[in-house]
Amino acid sequence: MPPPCAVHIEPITGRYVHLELGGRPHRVYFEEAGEGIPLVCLHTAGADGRQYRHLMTDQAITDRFRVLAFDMPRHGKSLPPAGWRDEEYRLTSAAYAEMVLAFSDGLALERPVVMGCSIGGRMALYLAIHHPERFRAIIGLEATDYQPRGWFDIEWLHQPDVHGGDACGAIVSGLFGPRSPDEYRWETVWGYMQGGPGVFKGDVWFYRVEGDLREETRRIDARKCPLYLLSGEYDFACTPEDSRRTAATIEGVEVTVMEGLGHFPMSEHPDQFRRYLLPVLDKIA
Amino acid sequence: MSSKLEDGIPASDVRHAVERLPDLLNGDAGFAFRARAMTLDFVLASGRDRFYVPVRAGRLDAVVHGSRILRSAALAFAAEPEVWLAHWRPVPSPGEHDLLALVKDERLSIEGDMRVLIRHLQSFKDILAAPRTLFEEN
Repeated sequence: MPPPCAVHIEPITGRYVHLELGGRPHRVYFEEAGEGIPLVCLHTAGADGRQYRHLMTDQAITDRFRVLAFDMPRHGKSLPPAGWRDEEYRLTSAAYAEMVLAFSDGLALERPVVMGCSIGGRMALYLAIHHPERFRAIIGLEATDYQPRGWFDIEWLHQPDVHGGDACGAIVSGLFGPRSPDEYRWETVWGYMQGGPGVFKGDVWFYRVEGDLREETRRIDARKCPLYLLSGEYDFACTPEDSRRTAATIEGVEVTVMEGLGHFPMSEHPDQFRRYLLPVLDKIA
Repeated sequence: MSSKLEDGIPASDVRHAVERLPDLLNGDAGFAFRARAMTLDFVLASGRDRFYVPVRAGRLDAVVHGSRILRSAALAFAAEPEVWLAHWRPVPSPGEHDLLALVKDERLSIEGDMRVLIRHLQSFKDILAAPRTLFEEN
């Protein structure tokens, strides 16, 4: 890697793919880099695919994997569907799964690896339950089968007299490992501050309410589609104990606790995260 | 844990640290800018001790210690002294590194006007983590 201050162009390219989701046309932005096994990366709630930018500039990964990350509709550079103004956004498991499968089909990705973080980690578990045949392997970062509802009122995430960007940023700003570099921590928070109104709340609806998988994870057979769970020790939204509890119901799953990391391993401390991710990718490749 | 406070008694260390809050924050231009819209009083409770922390346009006035005085406050953050000291370790342990983590674990309670909390959440986090610099290893 050249020094960050030197003029250089990163090998990441960004394009738009038009997909029909929920019976409606969507213009979905995605970025990619690398060649080889497709690795589809799912961002966290209220954020976007920029969280995976470090993977896309890591030659140890891009030499073997085609790393792709799309912004979910309403996130990042992906527009909401026409008519969004009159709807309350609430992400559902079915809509999220349709998104991942439609993206993979739309780009003709053959049995990609899927890796998701937080809500993406929940979706990774959902895909392992419902669509294991579609994937070469599944990686759940900060993945848990459910989240307790009561301790935080998500209505605060979308109030007319509360600055949504400041509020969403402040809520997630403690979900990092204390030794994660300040630069990357606040860059990740910036992504939350840029979220559209009600988007983080609508994602958290899936995470806290709709997407409870406690009755379903035992259907996962990680021998059919390898499943890896990696959990940051400082993540209090999905604690290592949450991941272990989830894994206890799954045959053949591997759980790794990532020292020093929080809820955003790929964006908060890329160097520390790759120490845990590269061995997993070695097994998959 | 050795610290710059050198008292070693949790309640006393908390009191020293809380009373230093204006010194720790008023020289921080970044905090002053971020908290420029913050004008309120809040309470930090440590066991039976209560400290009133006045904030005026992002600057902290002198902290008032007193458990029985009549004084209004928008919010109260209450925890045992050991919890505050754990939060102020230079590298806090998992679950002790953020106010919301402590709330989730029911080791910190936040009472009062939640609209005020959410409007100024990052500034409250910044203020209540500021004593970490006092507890750096000597």
